[in-house]
Amino acid sequence: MFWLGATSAFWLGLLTAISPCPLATNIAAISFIGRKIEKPRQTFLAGTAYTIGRSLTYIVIGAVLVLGLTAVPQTSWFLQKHMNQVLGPLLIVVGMALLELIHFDLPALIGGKRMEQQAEKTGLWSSGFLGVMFALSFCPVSAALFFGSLVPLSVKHDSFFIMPLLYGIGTGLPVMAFALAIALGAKSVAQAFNRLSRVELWVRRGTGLIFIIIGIYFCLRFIFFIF
Amino acid sequence: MKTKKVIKVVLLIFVAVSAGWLIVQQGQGTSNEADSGLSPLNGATAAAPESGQADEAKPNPPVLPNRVIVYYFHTTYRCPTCHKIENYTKEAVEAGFAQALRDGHLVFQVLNVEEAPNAHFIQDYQLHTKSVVVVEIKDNKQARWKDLAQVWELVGNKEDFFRYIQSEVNLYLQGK
Repeated sequence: MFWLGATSAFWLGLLTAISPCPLATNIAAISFIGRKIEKPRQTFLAGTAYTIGRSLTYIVIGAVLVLGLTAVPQTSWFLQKHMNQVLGPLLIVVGMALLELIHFDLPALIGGKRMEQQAEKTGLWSSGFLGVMFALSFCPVSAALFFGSLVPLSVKHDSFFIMPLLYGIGTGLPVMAFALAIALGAKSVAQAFNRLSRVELWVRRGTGLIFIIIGIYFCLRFIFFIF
Repeated sequence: MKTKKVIKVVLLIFVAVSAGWLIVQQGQGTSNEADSGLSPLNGATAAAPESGQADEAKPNPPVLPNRVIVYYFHTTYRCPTCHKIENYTKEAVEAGFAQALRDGHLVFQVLNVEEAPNAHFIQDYQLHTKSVVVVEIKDNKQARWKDLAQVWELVGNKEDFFRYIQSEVNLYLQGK
């Protein structure tokens, strides 16, 4: 019976990921995770960090609800309304950083040989952070499936770690798979033309552009209610 | 290089204006909530009929003391899937219960929970997103209600969606 519940939790996650509602954030996540085409290992790790970020968020929200620190309807409506509003400006800023229009002087990025390792670490943390932010930005479908189906499922099976974890994996796995496929495809093409670093530069710029476009879209839609 | 600077400045201004507008909205939202004096209503009042969604071309059916209401609750921001759920629900109800709709035994209502008079429905029916709720009214008092939460899982399959809505509404109409 538990396995049936666990499978349902994972399936609900997949259902969330493939629904059209979080498409914009999924595109942003795929381009962000898959942007380092030179190192597929890095894409895999970034995808894992992104998925862990999502899962942790769902586990924490589940725990907060179970402990009765907040009510389900209030939490759900608050996150649906406000997180999407915060996400718009944030995506634009991240996009600008990816395009090197603005610079963040992170101490971790300073240093000779250590610089690359630190950059990798920073990349993993930022992927995890992206996972947290995107998981918090509930759209109607994800709110319905998480608060309406996953939380009752967790209560039924008295499982407030495994169920949200599996749901989080379900929401992150398709994104990770797409990112890996695109990164590997881009790498093969780039290698064939012997232009690996050049292609990676353009992929990074493309990612920045995608972030800015999606950020503007979120601002117009959720802050200015233009469409 | 100059283009890069211009783009940078334009984007930063856009971010600043967005953040500023958001803060202004939050301030207005807080004062509106305080002014509206929202209070949770009991079932009887919550289920009171409203004519806002009635088609003007058709005569309004009588308000019967015993009736079933199918609500579709939405917000100001409406997503494509949310529209689909509303349309499917309306179609399913109209296709399955045309006579009950005409004689007033069944009522279909669409309400925005972000409008102050409807905000109490969030608490009344423990809504966590756009939802379809079926309510039974007996002697003008709310007898029972059910959130048809599976609409989100079934919205990809119109036939299953119709079957789900119609079977749940049918149970309420038959008092089961």
